[in-house]
Amino acid sequence: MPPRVSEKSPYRLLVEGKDDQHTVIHLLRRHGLDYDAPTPNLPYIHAAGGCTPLLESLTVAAKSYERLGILVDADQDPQNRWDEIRRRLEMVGVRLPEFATNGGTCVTGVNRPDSRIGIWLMPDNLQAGTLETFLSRLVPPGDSCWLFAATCTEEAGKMGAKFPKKYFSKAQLHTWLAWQAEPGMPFGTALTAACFASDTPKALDFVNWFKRLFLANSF
Amino acid sequence: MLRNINIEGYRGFDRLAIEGLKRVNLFVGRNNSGKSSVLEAAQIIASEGAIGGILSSLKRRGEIIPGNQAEGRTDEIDLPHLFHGHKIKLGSAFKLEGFNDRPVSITCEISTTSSNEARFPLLPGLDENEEDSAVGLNIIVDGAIKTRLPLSAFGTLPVDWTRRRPGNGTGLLGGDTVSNRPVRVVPAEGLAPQSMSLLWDGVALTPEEPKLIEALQIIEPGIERIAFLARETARPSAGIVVKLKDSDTRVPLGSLGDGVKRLLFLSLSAIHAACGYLIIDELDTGLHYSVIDGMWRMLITTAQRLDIQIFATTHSQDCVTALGRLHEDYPELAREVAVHRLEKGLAHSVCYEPGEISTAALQEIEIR
Repeated sequence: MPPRVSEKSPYRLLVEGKDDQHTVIHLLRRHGLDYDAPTPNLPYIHAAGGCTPLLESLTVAAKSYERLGILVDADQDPQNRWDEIRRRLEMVGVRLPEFATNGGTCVTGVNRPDSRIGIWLMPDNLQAGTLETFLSRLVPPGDSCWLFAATCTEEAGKMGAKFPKKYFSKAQLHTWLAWQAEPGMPFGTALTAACFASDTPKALDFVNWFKRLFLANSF
Repeated sequence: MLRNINIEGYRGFDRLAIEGLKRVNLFVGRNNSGKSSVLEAAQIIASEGAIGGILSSLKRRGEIIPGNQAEGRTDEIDLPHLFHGHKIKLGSAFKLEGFNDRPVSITCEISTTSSNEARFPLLPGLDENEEDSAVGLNIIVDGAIKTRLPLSAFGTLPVDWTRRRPGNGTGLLGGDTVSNRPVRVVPAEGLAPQSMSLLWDGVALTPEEPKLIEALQIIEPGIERIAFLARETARPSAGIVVKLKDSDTRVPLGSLGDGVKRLLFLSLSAIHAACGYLIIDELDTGLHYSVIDGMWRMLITTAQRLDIQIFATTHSQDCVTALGRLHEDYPELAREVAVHRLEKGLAHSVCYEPGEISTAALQEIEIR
């Protein structure tokens, strides 16, 4: 369901794609922030259509919004990704620390009083990975099928399945989702259906970063 | 060309700094963000203190108190509205600064005079006794008091002073420039027919005439020639006729729609702004989005050819996104343009390059 927060909002969260958009919305809903009944200051979540278009839009976005959140995959080289974000934001006068902050980064923005910019590198601001890595860690511990999903994915790889190794988490996750009460739920729906836990330490870190960036009186 | 502008205490601005001015500058922002005030300020700076140049802007805002000929009262400028806070007292001042190859600083200040004070340069024709009135507006250009204009008891400024100025260009209220650089204004509603006719007189049969026809061809490619006939009428395009290709019947300009009129206003004004400044309110008013690309190309090439610096406003997203396309297709033209966004409460404008405009369009970031 598309958020009812206006795209003209001076608060914006940039994400790579629809999966990220829905993950955020549904995870927040489990923590009392409902995009269907939005509180003030909830940001408009914009899917940029990929990591490259998102990064290319950073300077304009940083100049145009009062509070800007950036959610991207760390992919295989988190420091490289961080350095690129840092380089681009420097061009408009935003200073980022040398390394991403564990728990999500928040800094002062430019141009407007109380302007803020925040960055979260999936999965956890430290390690390589993607949204799927983050979600994998929300699988309830002791879930009977999760390990089996890993085994199957490995076997499938050996039997000639075509997924590249870097997408193992993604393959495992979608395999596991195929076995849930409603097979093949998209991430957002699965979050709402509580297939995933939503209060692991990292999930809470994410929600707290979001609140600090957009909702709190100060960050 | 002005590089930066600083505004202090003028109209809605306590302080506003505008940087990164280029040859062509488009100001955007919500209603009441101060776009028209910035145009006025640019106009005053460009004409180095001629606040009379903004008289028509004041009329549009309803800040001219009509006089009464029968009672011998002249029109008056309701001056307090030029000052931040809408109130004036002794010492109230606003300051406008522009920076190009040399800085220009204009301060308008409310102060008193007494007969013991040093004599300021007077406007010829001024009755000396009037100079002793208690309170006046000093217009100070680059530190030197250029003009002193007595105010009425209500803080209003008689417009009649414009008629007392000499004809040779020192009339600061009258709108002449001291620097000899022309400052041309194109209001949203266009120009009066007599003004257009006068402007046409300067173009007819000169090398600029074919350029002007090219501009009109952006909307109507069939236009071959244009002529201004002698007519007594107040409608803006009455008396202007056009010859279309493949037709022997001349056609009134008005029958071709509002867009052609607008391009005519813009072109005529630009030609007369050579080596100076062109100030355009609501740039694309009357223009369909399909001709805005052509309008930008025409405006920028004209500004380059005639060495004009342009300050314009728009409300329209089409006008802004067209710059993104211009950046893709004609980057050497697009790089002459900067977009400056004004927001209430911000002490400086936010400047965008045309490359950023196309990114913004792709990512649905609204800039206007």
